[in-house]
Amino acid sequence: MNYHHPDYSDFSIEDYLVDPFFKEWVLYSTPEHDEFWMRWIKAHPEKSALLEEARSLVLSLENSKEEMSPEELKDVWSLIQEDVNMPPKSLETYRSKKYRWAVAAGVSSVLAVATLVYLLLLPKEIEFVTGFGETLEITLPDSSTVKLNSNSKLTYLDNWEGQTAREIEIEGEAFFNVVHKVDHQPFRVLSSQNVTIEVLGTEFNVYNRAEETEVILNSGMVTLSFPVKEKEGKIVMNPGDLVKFKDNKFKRERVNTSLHTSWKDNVLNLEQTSLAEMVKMARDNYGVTIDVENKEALELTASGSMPLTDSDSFLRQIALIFNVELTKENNKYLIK
Amino acid sequence: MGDDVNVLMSNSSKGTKDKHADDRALWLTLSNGNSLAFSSLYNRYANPLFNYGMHICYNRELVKDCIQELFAWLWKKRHELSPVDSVKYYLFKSFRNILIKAINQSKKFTEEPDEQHFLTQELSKEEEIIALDKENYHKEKVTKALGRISKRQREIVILRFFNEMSYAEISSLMGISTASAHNLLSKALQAMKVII
Repeated sequence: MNYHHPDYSDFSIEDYLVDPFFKEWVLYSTPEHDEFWMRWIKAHPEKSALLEEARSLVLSLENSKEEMSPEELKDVWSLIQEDVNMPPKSLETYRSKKYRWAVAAGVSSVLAVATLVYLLLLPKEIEFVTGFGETLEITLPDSSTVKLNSNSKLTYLDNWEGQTAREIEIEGEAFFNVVHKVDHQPFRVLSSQNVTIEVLGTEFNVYNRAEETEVILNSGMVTLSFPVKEKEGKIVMNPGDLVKFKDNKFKRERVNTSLHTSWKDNVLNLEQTSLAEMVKMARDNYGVTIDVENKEALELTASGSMPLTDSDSFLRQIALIFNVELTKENNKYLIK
Repeated sequence: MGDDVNVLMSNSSKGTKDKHADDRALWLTLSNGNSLAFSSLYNRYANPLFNYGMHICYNRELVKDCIQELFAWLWKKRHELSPVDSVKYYLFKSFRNILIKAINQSKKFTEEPDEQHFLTQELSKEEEIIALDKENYHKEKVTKALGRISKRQREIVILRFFNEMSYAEISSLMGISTASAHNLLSKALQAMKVII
């Protein structure tokens, strides 16, 4: 979003081939890219042949790219682990030991008791759920904190000691403040679109609703991995990045993070926020459906900030800020 | 609250510099023995290195072995790592050395020294590599533009376009002057344009 375009008019073919924005356009064209380049060609018709040449070179280069399959990547990784004798990482290595049949009965009963104790000590699943209009502050076993937004669910297995990672699943929206551990135990957040967020001590916001995952990083460092066309993609996020993953595609933007995370302080900050976004928020966080009769009104925007309390006050403020009339019909709200 | 990481990231700016700052943060965390930083570096560079390696020597298993060797070596000497300007350059350079050594070794084992061998002794290392796998490469990639240009041209194209390296880095990596690097790349582009 803050990307400042270089002056493409005196670019050589080589310059195009190393320009990230140009490459992105050729390889993963988005409406934003298309719009820019269509406009640019119109303004510089004399460059269209050069551009076309650069385009086919980029495509041909991409076509020659050699990659390891995910299996190969994994295999090489485990060979590296073997080479450096890293400690075995999963619990399975303890359990896979086979006991011999010829054990005396006494011993096997001791084993049975031991198994029972082991089962009792097995980590149990812990679940936090918020209803519409509710938020919840949670302190995790490692003293990291989470603020769970409305209509959301957070689950994890208790007892992170001795595990490879601290793992959490999230549906809905949450803000994390993760404590870095001395032993560097990773902290992972899993969303329902198979996006994994891996953390090295940090503050970030996760939004995971309706086939969409959105991660916003306030500070620290986070890597995201997500499935793309049978492969695994990976992104390293920088503070101020918003990464959206939807329909197997991701998109990165630079944002003002406070706009997206102010809800954790029970405030909603708006900056050119559209009515459409507010309608979505009403649905996500308060379970309220708003029908907007005049579709053009959805494009209205507003800036400012408002306190977040209950759904009634939320709706009242929408009406006020956007200067629209809100009426209740049956179980729905209507904006005319 | 992860302060060490925050401090590292706070002075990063936009664009490619960001990537270098990320890399350096990972590098520093790795030198403190963080295995997550290690796996992040692997995830970030395994495939770019693989792509580079495959364009030097079209032998999947050999290239994978070299990646394995590089990362195992990196972890073993993690505590001795000193800060570097470009982690990418460091990795590519080390990988290239390992790969060339491996290619020369596999040559020793697989090929009986014959007359031809002695004839080619005067050739540079890179040219030896070309001779070794030219045939393989052409068989597989004959339709692709990169398959039609010389080995050194291919290498510079990979470094410049897939890995955004500067001419200074490329010239020191390939052991040539910056002027010849410029020259080599423009010839490569010219040749590829003709093919396309």
